[in-house]
Amino acid sequence: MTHEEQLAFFPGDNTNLAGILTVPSTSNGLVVLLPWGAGAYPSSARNRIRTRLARALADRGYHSFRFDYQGVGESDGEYRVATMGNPYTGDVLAASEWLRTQGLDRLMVVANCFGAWSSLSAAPLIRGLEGMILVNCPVRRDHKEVNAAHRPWQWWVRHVRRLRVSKLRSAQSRARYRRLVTTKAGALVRIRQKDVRFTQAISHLITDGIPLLLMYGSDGFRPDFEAELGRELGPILDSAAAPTRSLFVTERVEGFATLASQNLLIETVTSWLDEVVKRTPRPTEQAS
Amino acid sequence: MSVAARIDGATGVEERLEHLVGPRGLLYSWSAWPQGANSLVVICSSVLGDFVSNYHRERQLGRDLAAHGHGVIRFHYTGEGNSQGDRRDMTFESMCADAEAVLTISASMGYSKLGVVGTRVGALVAAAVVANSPQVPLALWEPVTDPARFIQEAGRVRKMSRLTQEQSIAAPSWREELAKHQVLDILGYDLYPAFVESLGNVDLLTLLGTSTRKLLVARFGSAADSLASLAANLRDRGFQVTTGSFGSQEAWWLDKETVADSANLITATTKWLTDVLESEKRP
Repeated sequence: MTHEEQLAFFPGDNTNLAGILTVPSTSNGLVVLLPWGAGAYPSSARNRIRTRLARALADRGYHSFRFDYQGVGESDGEYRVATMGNPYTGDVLAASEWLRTQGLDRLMVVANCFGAWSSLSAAPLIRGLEGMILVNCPVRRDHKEVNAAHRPWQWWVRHVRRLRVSKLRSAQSRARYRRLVTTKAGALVRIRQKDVRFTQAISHLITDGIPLLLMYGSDGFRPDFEAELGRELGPILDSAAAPTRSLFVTERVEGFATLASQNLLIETVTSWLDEVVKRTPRPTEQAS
Repeated sequence: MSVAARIDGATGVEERLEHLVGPRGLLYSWSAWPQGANSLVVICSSVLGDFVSNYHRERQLGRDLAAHGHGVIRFHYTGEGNSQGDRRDMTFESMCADAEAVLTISASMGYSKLGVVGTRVGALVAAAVVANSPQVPLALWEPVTDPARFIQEAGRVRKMSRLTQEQSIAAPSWREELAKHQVLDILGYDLYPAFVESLGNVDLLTLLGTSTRKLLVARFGSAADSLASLAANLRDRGFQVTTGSFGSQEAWWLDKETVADSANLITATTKWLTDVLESEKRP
């Protein structure tokens, strides 16, 4: 056994969150925080990918921490649907702060989908951040908006017919419908909504010298990311020093719905983190 | 072994995350311990896609049962979720052995009344582990009555997913592929021969046996299916069966970002277990 696992409740925003700290038998001093996508799933995620990743990282000396967002799994609170305007920033920050209380203050983030967006928004406030891998991170639209933009007219007609006034009572629903319609209209007239949050966040991390890996598969948010690369993001990433880079893979990575994509994730994460560790001066070297 | 505990500020219920000792490694568990409870409910989850799809409902059920004064234990099988072990080694027998270990631990805690909930394949496990305890009420959610159909359903989902990805569906059958590669990829869930073979001779009716007991059979959606005939069959055998249809049919292997409204299912299950456990005489 190369690791043991410690179960924990820790304080979140007005609630208690639950998590699992995987402790390697021989530590390299780094802890990897694993914020995952939205959805009311167990902290092991589909096919135990988070569990398997945590244990693979322990084999290489990394601590890791997987946790449940508010209202999910063993955490307290009410589940809330993920939207880009309301990321789970507080939960990511709470997890990173709890790790510091455990003496783990050198932190890497490996985040997927909505967890990547939440981590990106939390990044300026994460203390001791030494690297980030963002997998299939939303760029300017969430899943529903990306899908709605590509739906045919028949789909829209069918859904408008089903629409009831009661569904428009909540401000959150109205805002969601407004975004869907705007996205579709934008796709029709080929106008891209201006949303600089993603590019600005990446730019700040690069300026701060935080190594980044931006990984996209053949599906999900890749088209939005490629479009952004063609604008301001491309030159910013080009100017960044290695090991910061984007990585396009041929596998479908959305939800890691194939065994091949899961294996690829574990290989990519472990090899990139090792690359960062090799390039990072050890604390004693920094001191000298 | 690790334990974490917290007290819910609103209800005063103690919740624990705990590693329980199973026959083949540590089992991850969540439990709730209301003060003064004399009954305990053990929830036997399903596995693979079902495990993930149903997790939130089981979480809600656990919390609701605790709020109604029952002790509750949910756990992950060896090779599933956050427990130790490898999926390759997971079989129906290993799942039953894990559930038995949890029941043994439960029995040692001094609760006078026990109830068991089983969901999907977990219903088979639940039926197997209480076979010799007819006084234990069983609540079964969408039980897999015929495991062969569970595996066939997985094969169909795989075929559909190939179709949506514009891949050929004229690929080898799942049986051929499983025999050839010794693993089957069902939308990112790995299905191994040991698990498939272990379900070969299992069926719910046989596991439930002839010792009559109180049963709740809940199905998702109102479509007529084998659960209606299961309930009728059990009533003929003298079981006291309560049935109910709740919500809409579940697409078990598919991930969803939204949470289905399961309030009626949770409420009905808690009420049924509460009524049955309270009506029992203390031993």
